[in-house]
Amino acid sequence: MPELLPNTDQAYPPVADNVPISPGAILLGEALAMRLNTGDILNLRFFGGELESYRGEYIVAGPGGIILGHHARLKQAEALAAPEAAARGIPPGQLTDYFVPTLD
Amino acid sequence: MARVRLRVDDFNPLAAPLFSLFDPRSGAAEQLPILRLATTVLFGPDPASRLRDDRLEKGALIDTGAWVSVVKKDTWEQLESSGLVDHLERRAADQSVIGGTTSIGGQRLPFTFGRIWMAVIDTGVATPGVLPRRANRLPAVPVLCQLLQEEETVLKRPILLGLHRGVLDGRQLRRVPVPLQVTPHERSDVGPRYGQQWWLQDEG
Repeated sequence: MPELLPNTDQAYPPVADNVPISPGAILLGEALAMRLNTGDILNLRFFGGELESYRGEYIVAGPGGIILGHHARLKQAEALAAPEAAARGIPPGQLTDYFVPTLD
Repeated sequence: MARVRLRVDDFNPLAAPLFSLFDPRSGAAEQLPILRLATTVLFGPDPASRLRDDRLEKGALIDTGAWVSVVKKDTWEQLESSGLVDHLERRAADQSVIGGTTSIGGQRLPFTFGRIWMAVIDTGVATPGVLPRRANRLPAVPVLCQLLQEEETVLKRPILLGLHRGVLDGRQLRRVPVPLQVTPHERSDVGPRYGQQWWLQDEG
């Protein structure tokens, strides 16, 4: 199938996909590292079309991307997630909130 | 030179694509991506360099078409409860405090001004189950923000990083053309799929 629009960016050398550590690099605390990883997992799920039912809501998730609560208001989502997290032994510092955007 | 790689996110859902183009003359078809420039920010001044960074984080979009940064109501209220928001007053010529509204996605929304320290970071290609141990970080700077006073669902991320008085000041925003490539973790940064990588870096 022919291309609809030509791509004009192809004549440049490749850039490594991984990110080299720059002089401003820092060490991450354990809780932040866990939250960032959870955020990455939710991002991958969102862009994979797995979070469509949460559009316009905040998700509060624990390590591994497990969804513990969700609501259109962040405070309510946190309130719903808190007892679920406690029951699973997940400390509050390991919880990530993630807003699932609405469609354009 | 400190620098962070920005992510290119595609907001066109795989399950229900919003924009499919077809050229009836040539038969060419294409599902258009909705690309947005994304990153992660940490809040508050930078800790001492020997300490591990454990600040609160949020996803953000970079929008050079926004004249200043914008923060969702739920988000700045959460930051305020942690003492991370300095409220500022907008004053008229007679020194009376006045409000304002801003237009976002066709909605007019009331706002007040605030100042929030933010540091932009990147942790490389996302790998589920593998915790990032290090991150590239640009030093935290005070960011002038419009703090939205009403709940809305227009913003795609809790923070919109605008053109002025924020994380872009004194820095270079670079778009690097790269060969088209599809990687196993492409959805964590679809930029290379569309021939581009983005960087934000300190000058020098």
